[in-house]
Amino acid sequence: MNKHRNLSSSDWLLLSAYLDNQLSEIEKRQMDERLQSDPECRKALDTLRRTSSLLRSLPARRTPRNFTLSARPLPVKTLPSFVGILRFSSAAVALLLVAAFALDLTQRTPLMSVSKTAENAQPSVAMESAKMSAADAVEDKAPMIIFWGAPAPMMGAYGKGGGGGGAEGLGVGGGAAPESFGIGGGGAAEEVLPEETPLVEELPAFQPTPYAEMPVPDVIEEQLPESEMQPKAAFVPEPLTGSGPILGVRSAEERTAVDEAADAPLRQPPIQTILPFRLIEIVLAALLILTAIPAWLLRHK
Amino acid sequence: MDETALIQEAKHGDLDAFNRLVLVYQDQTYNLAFRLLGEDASAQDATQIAFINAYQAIKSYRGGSFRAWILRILTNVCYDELRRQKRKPTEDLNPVDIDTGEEMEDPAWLSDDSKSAVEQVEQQELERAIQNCLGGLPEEFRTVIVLVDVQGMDYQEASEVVRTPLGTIRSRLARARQRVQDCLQNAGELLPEKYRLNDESRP
Repeated sequence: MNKHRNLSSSDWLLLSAYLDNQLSEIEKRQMDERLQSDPECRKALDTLRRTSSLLRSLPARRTPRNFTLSARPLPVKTLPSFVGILRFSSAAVALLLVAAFALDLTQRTPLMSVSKTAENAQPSVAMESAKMSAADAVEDKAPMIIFWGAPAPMMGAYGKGGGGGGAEGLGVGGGAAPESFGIGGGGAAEEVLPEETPLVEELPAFQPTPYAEMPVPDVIEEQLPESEMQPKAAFVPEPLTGSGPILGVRSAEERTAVDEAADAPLRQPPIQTILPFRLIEIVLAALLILTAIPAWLLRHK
Repeated sequence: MDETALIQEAKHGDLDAFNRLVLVYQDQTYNLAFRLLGEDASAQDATQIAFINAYQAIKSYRGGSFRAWILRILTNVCYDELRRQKRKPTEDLNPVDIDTGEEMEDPAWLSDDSKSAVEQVEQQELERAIQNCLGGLPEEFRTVIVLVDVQGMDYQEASEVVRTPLGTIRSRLARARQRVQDCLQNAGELLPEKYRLNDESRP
């Protein structure tokens, strides 16, 4: 029912502000000029002014009573309402659910790809490590075996003989040092040695080098008969490559352990972390439904 | 004691000081509530709640127009009430005239004794028409036009009350005036002659 059809809403805005003297100098001058030339604009301003003055003429109502406070008022609402709690909890659960989804997605997508490659890679790695351990066992037969087997006896050797003993241990085998010095880890070595005596013959190739390094000839001579036993100690690993407690098994175990440790973080997540995520999401979704529906139903109260 | 001192006292928990502020501002507060809600009982409730809220929150008052601060609290209370009314429309509980059995929208004890009976009737008709038109406005338009046109507040203080920029006050006021003007022109025939906006005899 606006009779001033030629006036746009911005014209009305200017007229209204003009009425309250809220225009800038330039705007005011422009409006003055327009009011002089445009009778419709003048009439609109007049109507607007009368509307405003009608509103101003509304009598102020007398307050029916005083609103002074008689005593320190109690807090109006100290506890949030039941509906408020429901609303808040449903909102919080919704946020948690979104966060769980986001976390789930970000965790899963890289894992899916990685786990595939891990699965593919794993057998070959295992194979390699198996080969490696077998190869190592074969290759290192003489020197490595002695070295791996040495530590226990060598400790004895270091304990007693010092430098010379050490050389002995390295060169000849674990059993030699302890026995030559008469004490030390001999007990253990002696127990093992007798069982494996039959294999002594296979060692000769190795014996010369240790003896050459031996600093004290007396000892060598004395040990010579025993040296037959030393090789046994040195030899122990050969037949045991696959299952021997000292050598083959240990290195193989170590390798597989390392492989497993490397694979573990890649392999486990897809199976173990997705399930908890699913569980969390399902629980949150259930909670959301349980809180949101009552909150929605009670919202009119 | 000036207003600033009273506010300081009230901030320290002096209820008497706060009550003196209440006495200063209760008329404007109640009137704004009445214009926003259009009904006496709700306006009284809103006014009382606003003063309670103001007393509880007085420590958060950080200077500026105290009137604007109080009225801002009141408008928030009124908006809550309007929303509640929208959800749960209630029957108007105006007093009923014992003789006629009709509802009295403006009880005698609220009328102004200083005017003639005719003037009072005209005034009441006008007021009812304006209140109807105000009631048809969106809340934010209604608040601005009541603050500026009914209560005579300047743009700056009105912007403090509703916490919006001056430009927004200006545009809301223009829109509100335009709509109220259209509304009153529609109700023209019902209004006393001297209040009609679409008087064709005028140039």
